[in-house]
Amino acid sequence: MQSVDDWELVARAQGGSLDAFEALVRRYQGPVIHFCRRMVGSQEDAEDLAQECFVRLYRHLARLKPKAKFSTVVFGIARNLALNFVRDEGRRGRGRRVPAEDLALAAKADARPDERARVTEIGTALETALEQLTVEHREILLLREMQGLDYDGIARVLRCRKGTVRSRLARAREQLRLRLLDMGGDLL
Amino acid sequence: MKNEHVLEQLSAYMDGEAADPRGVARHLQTCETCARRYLELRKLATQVRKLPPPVPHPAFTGRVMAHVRESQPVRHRGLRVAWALAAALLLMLGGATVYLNAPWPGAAQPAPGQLVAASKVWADEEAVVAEFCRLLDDGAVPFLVTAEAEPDMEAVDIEVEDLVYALAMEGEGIGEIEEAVWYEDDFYATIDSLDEVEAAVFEELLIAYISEG
Repeated sequence: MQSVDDWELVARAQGGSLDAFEALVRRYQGPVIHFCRRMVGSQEDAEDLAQECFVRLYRHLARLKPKAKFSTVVFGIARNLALNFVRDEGRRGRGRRVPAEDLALAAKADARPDERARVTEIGTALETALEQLTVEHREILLLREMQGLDYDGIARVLRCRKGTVRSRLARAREQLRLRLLDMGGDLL
Repeated sequence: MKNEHVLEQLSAYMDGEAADPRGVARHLQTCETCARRYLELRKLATQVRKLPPPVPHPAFTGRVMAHVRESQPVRHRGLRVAWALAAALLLMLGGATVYLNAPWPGAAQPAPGQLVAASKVWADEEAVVAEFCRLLDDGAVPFLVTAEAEPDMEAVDIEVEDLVYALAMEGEGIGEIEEAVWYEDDFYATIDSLDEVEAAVFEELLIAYISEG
């Protein structure tokens, strides 16, 4: 995603272009849904949250200024929504829902059966290990590894200091590593 | 470089954010344990990145745009309403006394731009609004500090979402938005546990936001 193009689209949307805003939605819907899905566990809930994220983005278009990467604005909103959702679900006594059918496989179509099985095994273990992390650790891993935000961007989304990003990410990775080791020492 | 110091360095080193990348690199050349750990971290990062993203429902974009078309962008309103927005923010403090002077209402006349904190239980909302408007006219920047969770805002028809999210998007160290409360199509957010530093930042942003109006 090119940040320059993002802000150009924002400027056009601010000028009234719904097409420009729709282009932003198409560009970010995948990453936002992905982030929300990993945070809240359910595809349906993730899409509801992502939808809310974009609606709120639209409503506050006038306030947006190109002071940072646009992705940090989007994920900042998505993160707040996801955290509120997780908190509300916790209060209702509901855990994260992870439908089995959501666990997709990344194995290459032409891989050998044993290779596909291996990838499935690692992928499933990773999914499980990610779910077991605290919300704080999971979100920072998602922002770094899956969304590719740099430390400045993550700090902006999480509204914390860069040093906090550094140490929290290190702890998150260590926790993930330890959980994988618990599941099977050879997964790494 | 001691082994016990390298673990946190490895994570940052992998991301190009280590304080002493050359030192880490030299250490990795001589320390098998750390080198192995670094390899594990890199493998882990790669595997996490490879986890497949979910596929959005084909109708997702259409649904979003349908809602967008029904929504109206929040327009920046006049100064008076902006101040009322500030007034409607609910701050649940972690115990610190945050703000300036002047217990309210009935306090000494605030100076222009002075933040006036009020700590009271919501009672007569119309009176609250009237008092806030009086303070606004006097040039003060009133906002409400309350320990109550969700006051009855029936008589207060103002929207705080604009300011709250504007500040959230500024990303200037404001405390977490802990609660999102919808009330009759308006959105009220509580900002939880501002410490003194965050409160000072919030104060500056609030004044700046209102000054821009």
